[in-house]
Amino acid sequence: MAEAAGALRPVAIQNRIPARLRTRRRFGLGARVSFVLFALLVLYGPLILLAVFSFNRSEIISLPWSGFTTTYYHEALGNPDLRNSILNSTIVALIVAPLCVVIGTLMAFALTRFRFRSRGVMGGLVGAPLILPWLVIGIAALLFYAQIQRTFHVLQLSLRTVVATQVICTFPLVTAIVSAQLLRFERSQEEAAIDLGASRFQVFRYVIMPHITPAIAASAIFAFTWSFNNFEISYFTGGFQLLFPVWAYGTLRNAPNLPIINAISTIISAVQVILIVLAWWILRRRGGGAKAILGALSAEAEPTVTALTGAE
Amino acid sequence: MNRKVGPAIRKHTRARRRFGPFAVVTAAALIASACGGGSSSAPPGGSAAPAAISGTLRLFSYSDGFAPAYIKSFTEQYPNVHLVKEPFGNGDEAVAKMQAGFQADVVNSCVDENTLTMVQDGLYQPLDVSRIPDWNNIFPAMKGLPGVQVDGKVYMIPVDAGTAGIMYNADVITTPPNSWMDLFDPQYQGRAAIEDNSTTAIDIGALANGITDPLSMTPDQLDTVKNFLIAHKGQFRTYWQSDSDITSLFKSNEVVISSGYPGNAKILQRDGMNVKFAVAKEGQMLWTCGYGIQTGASNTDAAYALLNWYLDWHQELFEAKTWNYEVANQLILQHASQALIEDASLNAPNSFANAIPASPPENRAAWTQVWQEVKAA
Amino acid sequence: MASTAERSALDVVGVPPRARRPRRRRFGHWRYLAIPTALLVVFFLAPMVLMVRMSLLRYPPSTFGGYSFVHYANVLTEPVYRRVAVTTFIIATSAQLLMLAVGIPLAYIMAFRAGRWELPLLLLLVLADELNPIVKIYAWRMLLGHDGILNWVLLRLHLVSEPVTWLLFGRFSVIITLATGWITYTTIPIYAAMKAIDPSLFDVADDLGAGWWTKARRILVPLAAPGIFIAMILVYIPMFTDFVTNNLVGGTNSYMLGNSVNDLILSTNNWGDGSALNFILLVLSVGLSLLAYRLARLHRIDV
Repeated sequence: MAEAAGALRPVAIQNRIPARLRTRRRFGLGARVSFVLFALLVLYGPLILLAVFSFNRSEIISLPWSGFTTTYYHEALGNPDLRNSILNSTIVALIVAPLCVVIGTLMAFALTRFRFRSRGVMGGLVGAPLILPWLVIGIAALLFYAQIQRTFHVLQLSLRTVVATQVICTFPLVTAIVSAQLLRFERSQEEAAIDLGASRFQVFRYVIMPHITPAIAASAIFAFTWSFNNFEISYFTGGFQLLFPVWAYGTLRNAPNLPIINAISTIISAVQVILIVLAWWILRRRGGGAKAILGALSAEAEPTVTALTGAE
Repeated sequence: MNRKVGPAIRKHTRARRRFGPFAVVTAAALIASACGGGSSSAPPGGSAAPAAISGTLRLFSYSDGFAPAYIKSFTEQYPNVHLVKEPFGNGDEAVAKMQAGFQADVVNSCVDENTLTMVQDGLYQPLDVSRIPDWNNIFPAMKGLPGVQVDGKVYMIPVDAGTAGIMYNADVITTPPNSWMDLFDPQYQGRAAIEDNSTTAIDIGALANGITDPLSMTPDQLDTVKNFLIAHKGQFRTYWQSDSDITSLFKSNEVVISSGYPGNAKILQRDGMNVKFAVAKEGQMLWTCGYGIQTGASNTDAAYALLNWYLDWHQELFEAKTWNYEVANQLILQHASQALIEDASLNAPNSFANAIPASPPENRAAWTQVWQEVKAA
Repeated sequence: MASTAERSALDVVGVPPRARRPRRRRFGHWRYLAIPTALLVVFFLAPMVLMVRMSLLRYPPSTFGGYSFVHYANVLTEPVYRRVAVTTFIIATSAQLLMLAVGIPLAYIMAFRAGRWELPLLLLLVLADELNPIVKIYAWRMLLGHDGILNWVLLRLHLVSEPVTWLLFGRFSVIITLATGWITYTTIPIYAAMKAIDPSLFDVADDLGAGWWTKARRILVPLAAPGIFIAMILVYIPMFTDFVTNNLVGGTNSYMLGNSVNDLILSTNNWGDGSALNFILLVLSVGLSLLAYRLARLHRIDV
């Protein structure tokens, strides 16, 4: 088909909008732009409205505008339960993310650098927490911890149980992203270094690491965000130490003062936007160009299929 | 006394490295042997001086049990106790969570719901009433409610009581409703709410269908009620789960009529909404709730302190004034105004005519099951 | 792994470097696999196995009464569960259709017509997915309420005479919230599949006089179909097990399978039926994923 097209007229594959079709496409351009804007509106509109109304002096989230105020921000930041829940969520995420990076990278190495009989099974096993809904995993984990409590009288639901189950659910994401990067990496450089007498560790440190560091950094940021945002696991395996999504969920039906949720949601969203843009910047600058970013971001957003297809 | 308190302090301050300052304050308090109770409310009776009681105290309760204005005096009287709280929406949920490994120290329960179940399941531990001086001041009738005392041991301290009826927005509904069937009136379809509570909902369904003694319903009658509730599901906009839930639903005009409690109506009136409470002619449901200590609780000293605090007449007066609750402590009669005594029926709690007693149904597990089926249908 | 000393010894003996590698590789992978595998076994496999065991006990968690399939029989045959499954399917499919209506054109635009906006758009999509899901659901609850912003706009524009009540606390709000929550997840596989299509095909079709509908019907959809199917299959999994959306913005007629599992375990204390239903959802998820995987392999989608 491509040859036939080439025979008719020379068309550069990379050229998206041929010049002589631009006039005909002007209407199409308008339609496309408005559609994209509509899609973005549906995605971001509610959150932007939340942010705007967090400054409205009113208990009801609606117009008319009653005056600009930052009191809900003060109330939110002064609420001890809210502060505790954010603190807990941040601590958990700060513990989970590095653990996931280490464990996930180990797994990624094993899956991409070796060929062994049980590789398919391992790939499936590591992809399973990504495939299975967190409800299923959370319930199973809850029953498991309850059984341990009943038999050994040692375990209670707490931040520790949350960390344990969150690590399981999140490290496959790191594996997916790092595998995607490792698979793109040329083995010949590695083998050349080994031939030249480098130790395994030196190969790792000087040849492989520089190439996968962007993927690791980006996946660390994604792991942190996933852990912070994780609702189902925190809800089922958490004890008394509240985590932010669980606090928000409970507060929605339990709070006399809903506008503080507006305020804190705006702050949290702003922080997460910064983090993700940072991850994107890392991938773009240091990660090896458009294709790598596409690969890594697609792996992040669709880790299920990546993990599955990467297992072969 | 100090021997009991000492090890508890060490365990808790070591475990909570985030709360280093607490450890310092605790040590300082012990060294200085300051006598607590300098705040305006009277200190609860018995036990060690308030400043000596410390550690983390976990409270698992309906959300009114730790409403900020209410719980404030406890945290002021016991500055070294770090109180963490978790709400539940209804008694079924509380029991299920505890069976799944949720561990707390003080747990709220209601006699008409799950107090007896919790005792039978071993979730409540026996209480030492010598540590609760106000025990002797409780209305005798309340002490005999199911679950409070079982086999001669006390498991739960009743604290408050009240009735359930109909709440309605008087601006929208000009004729006050007087029957449970008004809740199912088609003209309010989609603007009504009902509490997400198996005991309350099934009681309402039974009373609306002419069953006069819901607590001893036969399985056939229970089936009728179930089908009735399922058939009328579309009537309700949502099932409400907490006081703030129902108040915000009324405030944002999502609902105009709902099952509810006099206290909710009072809160809404204070916030400027014309929401009133009405008694249904088929009968009102009595509830009595209180607190006990969960088996396996770690900080029993602070737990007893909290139980005593709840029972103390200062807190009971707060409940009567804020939410029109009836209370368990008879000392209230010496401190409440005559108007309040009449308004909240403080001198004869749980003695309304035509009221379903505060008692669990005979087949409570079946009621829980039925309510889940109604919600899922 | 051969240590430096060992390698130097091999150097002395004269064994060429390449010949040494097979020895290192045979069990070297366990060095990396040990920790992750141990964690997966303890914190993932063990809970799953325990859950299956609990679903087979007659009166879990005690072993009194022995083992039985009664819970699976309950879940698969009792009408109440069937009703919930139907409701879930209706809601999930409606949300799915909405997502495809937005996702397919969006994927097309990103893959072929976006030019230098392709990566920023991808970033915006991924970013939307990373924001807190509870916050997103709350935002819709605020928008759709009786006194909410959407009703305010409708009233002001005189499109309605009184506030629309079915916007919130009903199936509508659940469908809208689910749909907007999973748009990213839907769009990206379709986008990836479309990237594999040669764009000159469209130019040829233009030259041959095809309108946009013909191009879509004859070129775009058939070639992107595997990606579309994969997206559909994968998005069904989280939607089938969602319970948060219904609890926050749902009404009395939007009870979903996720709510069933949640309530069975944490409200009714019926761990038998709850575990059985949970396991069935697990099997369903694995089955759907394998189907998606097969499709991906079959069409060599490089996601």
